[in-house]
Amino acid sequence: MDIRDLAPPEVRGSAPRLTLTGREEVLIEGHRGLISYETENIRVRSGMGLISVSGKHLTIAYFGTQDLLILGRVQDVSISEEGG
Amino acid sequence: MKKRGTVRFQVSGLSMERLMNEACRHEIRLKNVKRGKYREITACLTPEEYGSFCGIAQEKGFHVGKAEPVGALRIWERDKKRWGLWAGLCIAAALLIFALSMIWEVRIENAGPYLGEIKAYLQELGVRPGVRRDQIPLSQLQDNLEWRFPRIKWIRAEYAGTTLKIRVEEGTPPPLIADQGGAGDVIAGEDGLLLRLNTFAGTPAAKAGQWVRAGQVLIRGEERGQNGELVPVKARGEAIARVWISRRVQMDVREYKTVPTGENAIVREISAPFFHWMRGEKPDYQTFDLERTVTPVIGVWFPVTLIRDIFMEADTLVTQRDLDAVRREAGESAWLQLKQALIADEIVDKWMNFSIIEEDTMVATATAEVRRDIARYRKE
Repeated sequence: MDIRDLAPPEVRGSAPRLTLTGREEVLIEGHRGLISYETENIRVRSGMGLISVSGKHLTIAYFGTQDLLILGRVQDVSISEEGG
Repeated sequence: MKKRGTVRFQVSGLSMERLMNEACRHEIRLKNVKRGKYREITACLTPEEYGSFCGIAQEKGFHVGKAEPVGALRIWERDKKRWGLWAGLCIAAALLIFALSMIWEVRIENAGPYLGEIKAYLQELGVRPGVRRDQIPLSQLQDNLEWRFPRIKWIRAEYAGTTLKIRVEEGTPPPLIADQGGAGDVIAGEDGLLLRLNTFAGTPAAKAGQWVRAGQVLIRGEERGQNGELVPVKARGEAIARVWISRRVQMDVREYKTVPTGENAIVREISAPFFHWMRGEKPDYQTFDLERTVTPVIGVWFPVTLIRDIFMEADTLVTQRDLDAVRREAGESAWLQLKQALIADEIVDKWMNFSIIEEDTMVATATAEVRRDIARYRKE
């Protein structure tokens, strides 16, 4: 077994980390690019698939090489294999 | 020079996400991205990143709108030519710094019966609101207060913002050795009849019931050691004495009045800073009343004035004032002066004496007998 397998997935670099704070903030760490951005839906490519954040008045407060911070009224966060 | 701040701009084109990913690959960190109309977003970047972003966007066929500064940069860009505003801000800041360097309140805490005396002593030292903080060395002030009030165990003086706080703790302090500030005597600050001498450190050199003169040593700054040798100490103590304080006021009992003789002379002048012209001559009256009218020729800002002097010859008539009125006036004045001299003293008795010198001067002498601590420290 490789010693790297003992590390958590987000450390290994394969899996993104999603942090939802209340209904107002979603932080996606380790994303692989933005697929679409609308005020009611933002879709982001990640190592484990497509992350879709739905809500109202969604804005991208920060879009960096690793992190993406979404603000707004979050209603739904989902992950699908499609586009991963 | 690196330009600081943030700019906001608008980008339009097909597939904004593609442009955002491209910017991300170039390590351009977009902030506050908001979707506007279809094919349009607004975002914020630093001015440096904005330059790089424009290059990428134009290369990919996107249209980037004009950048507008936001936050502090926006204020700077908007107001950088308003010299009056910046000068005003600088003056306000300078005034604020100046105001913060002063003492605006002197607060004495826990002083109990010493409050009045400490206030008076601080006034004597020039410690009052409106004085610069650096003019008052706190440790020296603390030391002075401790010497002045030997019954106080310790005094702590400190600044709290623009307030000078003096905290007092009452008690009998232990005698201090010479190393702790230097040896010295306690002397009489003024003449008086010594009622009580409490020695806290040093050797008494006077006793109750004795008349003492200002400057006389009351407690010597030395003590006998265990082997009988004399050890220099900081003498400390309290010398309560009966002190008589007087204030004297002289007042003329005659009243001088002028009575016009009817002879008048008018002199007119035109006066300017570098020019002076006079019409008529000043009369050689021995005594006269003068009525002067000054009229600006053109206006307040033009320094040419027309002066009209009327000299009215007069004889001087000397009359005797009502003695009771003079006496009352002189007495009130002397008493007022005495009250100002007795700020926090315990008055035992007071009286007023009147006398007339050379038949034309009334002298009022207000005297008060007070009990006060006359001990003063004198460093060797």
